[in-house]
Amino acid sequence: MKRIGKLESVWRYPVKSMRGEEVEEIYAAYTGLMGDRVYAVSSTDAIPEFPWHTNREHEEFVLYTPRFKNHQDTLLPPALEATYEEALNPPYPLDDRFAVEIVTPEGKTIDVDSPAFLEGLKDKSEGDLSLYYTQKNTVDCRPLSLFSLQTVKQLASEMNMELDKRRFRANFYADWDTEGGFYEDTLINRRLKIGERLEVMIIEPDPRCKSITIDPDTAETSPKILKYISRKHDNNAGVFAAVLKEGAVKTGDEICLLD
Amino acid sequence: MKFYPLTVLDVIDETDSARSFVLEPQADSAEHFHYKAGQFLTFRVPWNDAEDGFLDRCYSLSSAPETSEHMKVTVKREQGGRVSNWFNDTVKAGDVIDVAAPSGRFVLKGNDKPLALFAAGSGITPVLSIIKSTLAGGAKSIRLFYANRDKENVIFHQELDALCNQHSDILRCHHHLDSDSGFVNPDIIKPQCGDAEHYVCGPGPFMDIVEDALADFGVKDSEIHIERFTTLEDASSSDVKTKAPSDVTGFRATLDFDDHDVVYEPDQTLLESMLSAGLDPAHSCKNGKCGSCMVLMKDGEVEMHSNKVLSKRDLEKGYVLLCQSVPMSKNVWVDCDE
Repeated sequence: MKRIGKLESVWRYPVKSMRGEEVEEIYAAYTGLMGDRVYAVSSTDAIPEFPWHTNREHEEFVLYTPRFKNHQDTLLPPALEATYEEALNPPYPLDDRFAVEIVTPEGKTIDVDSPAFLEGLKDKSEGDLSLYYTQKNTVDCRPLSLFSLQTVKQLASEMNMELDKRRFRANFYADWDTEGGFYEDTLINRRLKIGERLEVMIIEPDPRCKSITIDPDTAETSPKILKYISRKHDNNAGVFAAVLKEGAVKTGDEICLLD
Repeated sequence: MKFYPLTVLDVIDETDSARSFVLEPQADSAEHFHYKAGQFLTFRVPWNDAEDGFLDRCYSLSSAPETSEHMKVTVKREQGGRVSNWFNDTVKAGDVIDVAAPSGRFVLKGNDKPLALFAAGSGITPVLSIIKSTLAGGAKSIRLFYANRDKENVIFHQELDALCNQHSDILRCHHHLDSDSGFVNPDIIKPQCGDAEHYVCGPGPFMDIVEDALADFGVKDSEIHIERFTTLEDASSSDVKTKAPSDVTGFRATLDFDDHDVVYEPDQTLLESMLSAGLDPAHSCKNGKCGSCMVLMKDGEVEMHSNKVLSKRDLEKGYVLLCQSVPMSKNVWVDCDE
């Protein structure tokens, strides 16, 4: 195994399209990170194949901060070591342990499943909104997304602007041992081991959309970021990964090539 | 878009030029066909001459989930319309048709305001669905203004009469016939407006008149719900709806800080015109979904076929999507650098 970098940070997004949460240690399952995008808001105004109310139509959605009420219970499944030993899929806690509360941009704390939450979003959508919940992760395309600090740095340099890595809403931010951006693109179809157990395969580039134009702290948009990536990098930045072997990962874990 | 086989249970003659089709999904796809009153179904019809070997068309549901066990769409023949005539001439009970899940945002808002409904021609289909759903839900006042060319073309005449008789305290229907009263004009529409949620569906000229009348009357945008009942029969894609005025032959685009005068050909989007001209503005999905081709309008007017990515804030700032925009005036100028 050849070491190629380390895990700089790990992020999940308890409510799809809202602000992310950095975690020290987390379980990565075949469907994605535990607690990642377990809630989403659907809208009748959206298309059937992508029925979500997102920060694209409502930029300030990124300023809503979701947090699990039972944070510790949502990081690692119980009896994880025993399931490793038996090669079993670890059962997750019951749904009530995944209860989420949200701090609104106005500083109000509200339960995600309270009627007041959707009521507060009513004038932000042309459609009727409803809450969607699943333990299986409401990801757009693939279970995991990966971005590197080097790619953030290269894009910032190319565009001559400061870029916050959080714009790219990845699960894993890698710090490669090599210089230069877009190294992750060279890993497509390669198997990686992250930490002591997790094995993933890098599947494909991540085609970007308007979400990356939104400043994660102000919700102001900079369309030129997406336009630049579209014209200079075929609209792709970052990569998607599929999980081959489930396991927990933590910040600072080594990333190694398996083949 | 995923399509599922639906069985035609019954075919009902509504007028000489319109038929209703009662549909039933198969057991394993029934879960995809829960719908709200006012929504439509997209049909995929095999068609040898079509570029992709099929034609996709949308038809509104005239049934309401609260009152009908089965879904029902109503299709009116359009002159030269391949699919609408195929429906009326060919489709029979027992046939199986490919249909996508219900869609559309022309649906009831959850408040107690009265309804002021405006329909013309086959635009009555989603409006009838809304009427049935509303009547099933309680005692909300409903006023329907329903315009047709003549009496013979009134779809659902008997059904509406029966509903009005049954719910005479809350449902009132005003039939307007061009043959008797001339084409609809704002003065005819205004008395129908008021403190209500306004729903409008019908052919383009009718919609324009009603929209203008509602605006003149001071009806708030948030209380106007519109379903553009556009005939897609001659379009190559179900998304192509808007055509540029014939005198629009070009537009200006700023790209990489240079201004370009771009030739516009009929039926193109702004993006297609720019690509034809050898320009390479940012773009990706070409479906109005990713936002890569958002550009700032500096002058003129465009209409977008579809927008699933720009926010209200973007639109207010003047952003439009190149891949979905059609120029509606001769002075269109877009800035691709902003």
